[in-house]
Amino acid sequence: MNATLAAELRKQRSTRTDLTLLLTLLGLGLFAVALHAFSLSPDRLMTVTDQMRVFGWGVLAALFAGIAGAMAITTEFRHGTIRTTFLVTPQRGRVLTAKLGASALTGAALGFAMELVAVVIGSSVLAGRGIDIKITHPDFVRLLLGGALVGALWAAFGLGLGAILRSQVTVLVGLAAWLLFIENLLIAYVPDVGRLAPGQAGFALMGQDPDTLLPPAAGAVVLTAWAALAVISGRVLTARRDVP
Amino acid sequence: MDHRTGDVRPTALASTRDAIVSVRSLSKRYGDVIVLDDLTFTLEEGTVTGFLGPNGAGKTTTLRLLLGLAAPSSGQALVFGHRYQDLDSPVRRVGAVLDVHDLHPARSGREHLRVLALAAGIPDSRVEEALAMVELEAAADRRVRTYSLGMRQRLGLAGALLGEPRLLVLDEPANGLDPAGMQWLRAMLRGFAERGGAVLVSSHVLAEVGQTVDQVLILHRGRLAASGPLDQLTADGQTLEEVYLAITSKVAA
Repeated sequence: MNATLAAELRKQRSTRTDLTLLLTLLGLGLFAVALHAFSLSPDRLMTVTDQMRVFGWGVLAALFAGIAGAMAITTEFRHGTIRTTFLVTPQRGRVLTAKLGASALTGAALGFAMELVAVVIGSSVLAGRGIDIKITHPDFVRLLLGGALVGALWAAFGLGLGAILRSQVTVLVGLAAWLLFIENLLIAYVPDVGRLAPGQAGFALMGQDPDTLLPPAAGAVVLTAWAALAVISGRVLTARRDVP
Repeated sequence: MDHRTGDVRPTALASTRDAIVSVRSLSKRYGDVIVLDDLTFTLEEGTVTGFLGPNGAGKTTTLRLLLGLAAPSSGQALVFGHRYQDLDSPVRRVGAVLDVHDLHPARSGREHLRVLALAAGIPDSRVEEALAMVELEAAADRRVRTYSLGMRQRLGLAGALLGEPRLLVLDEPANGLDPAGMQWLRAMLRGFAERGGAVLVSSHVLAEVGQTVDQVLILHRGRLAASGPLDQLTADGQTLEEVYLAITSKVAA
């Protein structure tokens, strides 16, 4: 198992995919945090919940971690390297477990880095504008560790979807459309259903929008269930289906 | 025996002594489409076997079944007496190149081999040996997307040789090789068999096959249409190409 995991980590390091994802995420995150922190009027930055909208960027962490997890497997199908991978390690479940470990690490790093940027930039800008920061120490810890956990779980969710669907374009477009469009509609029109969606559960885990979303612990359970469902389905299908 | 009759069971290759590959009554269906129909053959050590047949005859399907990438609908395909996926460390017994394009374009040749070595528990020093064997040291740190077809073939072969296997399974390895590369491949395969290995090589280049292999399996429409030592198949003065075309141009009755 260790050899398979080491090989997966080496695969990640030997292309620039994850570095590109990290830099794009941080660039977008920087822009989004700064825009909110600079442009929201002070009366919309009064409460903890208001300020969490500046600091909590679970949506970006989830999207990029999901993409990283999905690409860990769909890239192999796209380039045909999955054949070589399974020739070296015919135990397909073991390969998926190693990919799960490697992707979760990447996802956690992406989520943590995103939140670190958000906390540092957001609090500097608010302080610069003379706005009282209402968010307390435990909230910051929840944002940072929550960001890492959302990243890890969404990477697992993306990996599972990637193993199920195998087509890189389908999975990446599907992830973005689901998270940025469909979940927004669900939470706006049927919030009782929407708050159980994997993205909203992740935002809840980080302590975002407590008025609408689940409590953090419940969010963690719901997102873990989604990730487990995707990974287990992906494993079963990968073991059963012929490799193309 | 009339080797051009598909229904005749091959006897020439059917001994089980020292069988490295043992394929028995192997069939593969996708829905109603029969891709492979009741294929039986064995490969012994010290042999180079040419696997011939038109596109869609079932050659690649056979190789995928043999390597555990696809599951047979019925029958079995064993290497060293086991299913591929049940081998302890398969890379140390079987080296395979199924598709020359199965490489990540952004990874360097050396990194590609190091990933394989790491997963298989093979030291990095062996990666350097394999690179030297296929004469790819100079390009080893370049990304694969800059490689020519022939360089990709050689990188694929380096990966197959990494674990010092006793069976080589190669799908169209001559594709993209220049004359010097062909000569090198021929010598490598002959040497591999002389040291007691077995080689199963699919190819369209019949002239090349004729110079390299000891025996052939000719697949047509999912069935074994002919098999046997090369000199027996061409015993009545026909060339391999004539024999091949006579078998594969027949319209199924």
